[in-house]
Amino acid sequence: MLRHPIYLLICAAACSYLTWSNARGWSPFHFAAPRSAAGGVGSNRGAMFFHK
Amino acid sequence: MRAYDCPSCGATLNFASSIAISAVCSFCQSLVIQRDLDLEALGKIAQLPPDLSPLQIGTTGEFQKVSFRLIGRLRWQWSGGSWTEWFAECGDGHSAWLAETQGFFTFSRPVEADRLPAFDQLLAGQNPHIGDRAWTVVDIKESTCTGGEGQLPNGALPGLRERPANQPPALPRRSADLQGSDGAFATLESGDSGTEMFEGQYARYEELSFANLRPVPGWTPGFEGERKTGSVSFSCPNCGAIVNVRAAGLTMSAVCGSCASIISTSDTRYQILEKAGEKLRDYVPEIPIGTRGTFRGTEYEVIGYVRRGDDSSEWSEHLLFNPWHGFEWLVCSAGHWTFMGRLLASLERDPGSSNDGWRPFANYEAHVVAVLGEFYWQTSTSERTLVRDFVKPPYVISKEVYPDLAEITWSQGVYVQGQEVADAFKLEKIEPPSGVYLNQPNPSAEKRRQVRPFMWGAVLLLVLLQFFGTSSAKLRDAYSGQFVFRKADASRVMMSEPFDLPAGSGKVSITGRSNLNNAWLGIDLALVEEKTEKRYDSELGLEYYSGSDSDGSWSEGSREAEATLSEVPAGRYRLVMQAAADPNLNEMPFTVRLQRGGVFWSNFWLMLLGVVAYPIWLMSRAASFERRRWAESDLGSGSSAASNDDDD
Repeated sequence: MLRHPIYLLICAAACSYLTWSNARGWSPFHFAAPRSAAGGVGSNRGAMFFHK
Repeated sequence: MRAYDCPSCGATLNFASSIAISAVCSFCQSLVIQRDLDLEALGKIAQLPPDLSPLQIGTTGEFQKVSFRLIGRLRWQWSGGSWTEWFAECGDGHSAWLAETQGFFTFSRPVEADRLPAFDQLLAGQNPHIGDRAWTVVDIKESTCTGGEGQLPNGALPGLRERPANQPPALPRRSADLQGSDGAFATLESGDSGTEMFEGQYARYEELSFANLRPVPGWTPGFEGERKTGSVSFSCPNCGAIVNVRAAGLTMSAVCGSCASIISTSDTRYQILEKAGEKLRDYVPEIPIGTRGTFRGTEYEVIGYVRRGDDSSEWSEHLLFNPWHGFEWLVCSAGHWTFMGRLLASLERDPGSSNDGWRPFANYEAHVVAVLGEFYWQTSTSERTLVRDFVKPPYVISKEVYPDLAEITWSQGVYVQGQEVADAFKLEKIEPPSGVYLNQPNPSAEKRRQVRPFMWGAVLLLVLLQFFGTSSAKLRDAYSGQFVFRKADASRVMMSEPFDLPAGSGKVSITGRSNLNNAWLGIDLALVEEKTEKRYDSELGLEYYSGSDSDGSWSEGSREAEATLSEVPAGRYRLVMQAAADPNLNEMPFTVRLQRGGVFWSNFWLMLLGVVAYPIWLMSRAASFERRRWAESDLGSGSSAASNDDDD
């Protein structure tokens, strides 16, 4: 019988996560959800300036 | 086979073995010795009392490739009890003695030995060298022969009680039992014919390959008969109540259940050893006496109970009996159970004196608080035992010194879950364990040992994955540009030329650099995809100050800053920046460099932490458990135990 299945799951999940995050270049500490270009940097004049 | 007429009663007397010189007539109990072609009756010896031994005349066996057949036996008695010695004719034409005592056997043969130590100088615990071997004296006693049967060698006759009137009284036989390493056994005997040495081995029942055994009433299937328990009963000489002896012939004392007198059962005289008093009846064994159960594959009956104590605690010891496998103990202390048995080998050195994992735990004097049932020695409430415990959980070794009996015994035990005891003996209720016991397995250490290979495997895998991730996702330049912050520019918004980020870019690093001095520059930036107009926000903060004081020149801050974005999809992007700067700064050029690829180390460290967190937590718990265990010790320390545990 497999002992400590939850710990084995944690190990497997950690390895899987590292493989996945390295492949996608993803990090929870550097993740910024994409926003609409309206608003934010450069929009304080009320226009998407690269549409100028 | 030589057949003679018994000179005493005329019954046929067979000498089946060439090594037997004397025999006991089974009709008149006369001890008859061969002298040339004549037989001489030396006198009558006592008939052996009934016992529960499965051995009988005619039982065969094999030990260490030597086959043997039991052809006679003698019963010996000393002040602390009695035991049986079987005379065996071996397949190699020689003889041997098989002693049956306290639930184990010794198989020994006479040996020639020079310079035997003098009896007067022997003490229990000494380590004499005899021949090329070191021995430990474990037992010194005087004994007399109280009965016998079958065929015997001539030299086995000193000390017989009933001798012809014209014979001088026999001297008691003095003997010293010696224990060697690897189960070696020897006995020195000093009797009528001088000192002899017998050397051999300790043996357990299963090592002797017995055949032609006697059915044991109450135990052998189909031989329960009327005596269902196989017990022998007698009237208490103090109060007249019936006392049952469950292991007749093998136990040396029994406690009257009515008046609590301790009575000798080593012979059928049933003499009172001690009037222990009513208080003994106040104690109730955790497993009632008479209970039978199959524990670890062997059926046992609980036949005795000793409540012992030292200065700080009390514990219960249950004596288990099986006619074939002998005696074992189940010890219960504060709900913790240990299954203990006699260690049949002398330890060359104390456990723990070498790096063998054993640690001395306690030194104490144990005294008897109460006794119930029966025992293989003549027990007493005044019995004192000097005990030294060594632990290597779940095992414990106890060295017990009985100063009154000049005897040393070693026992080894293993921790047992209470539920296993309850299941074996069908106990409805069992005391839950409290505290940490000396040989209780450390559950956290055990789990840590189990998960450690997985942990190291996972750590290695994570390192490899990170190595391959770093190698395969190299940093590549995606954009580089130069911009100028101008205070006069009202919007202070700057935008790069468009650039492409291919699929799989993933991590994007944006590095800003400016030749600042004693000023700061903050850049809010957005990476904007032209087609979808999705943007990813970040910021760069650059500040650099320098100067000099009495300690010399100094600087702080950096002229370079980096922002990182994760999982940026493929597309055509521009960098849009809005800068703010030190009020004193009117104009400041800066460069921005955007790179794609690479891996985040934070993921690696986070996953590493996830993998080692549980083992570290277990290690902490294990150390706490060991501290609690060793807080009870008067010899060791928790830190050394914990470090030892790490070495496993």
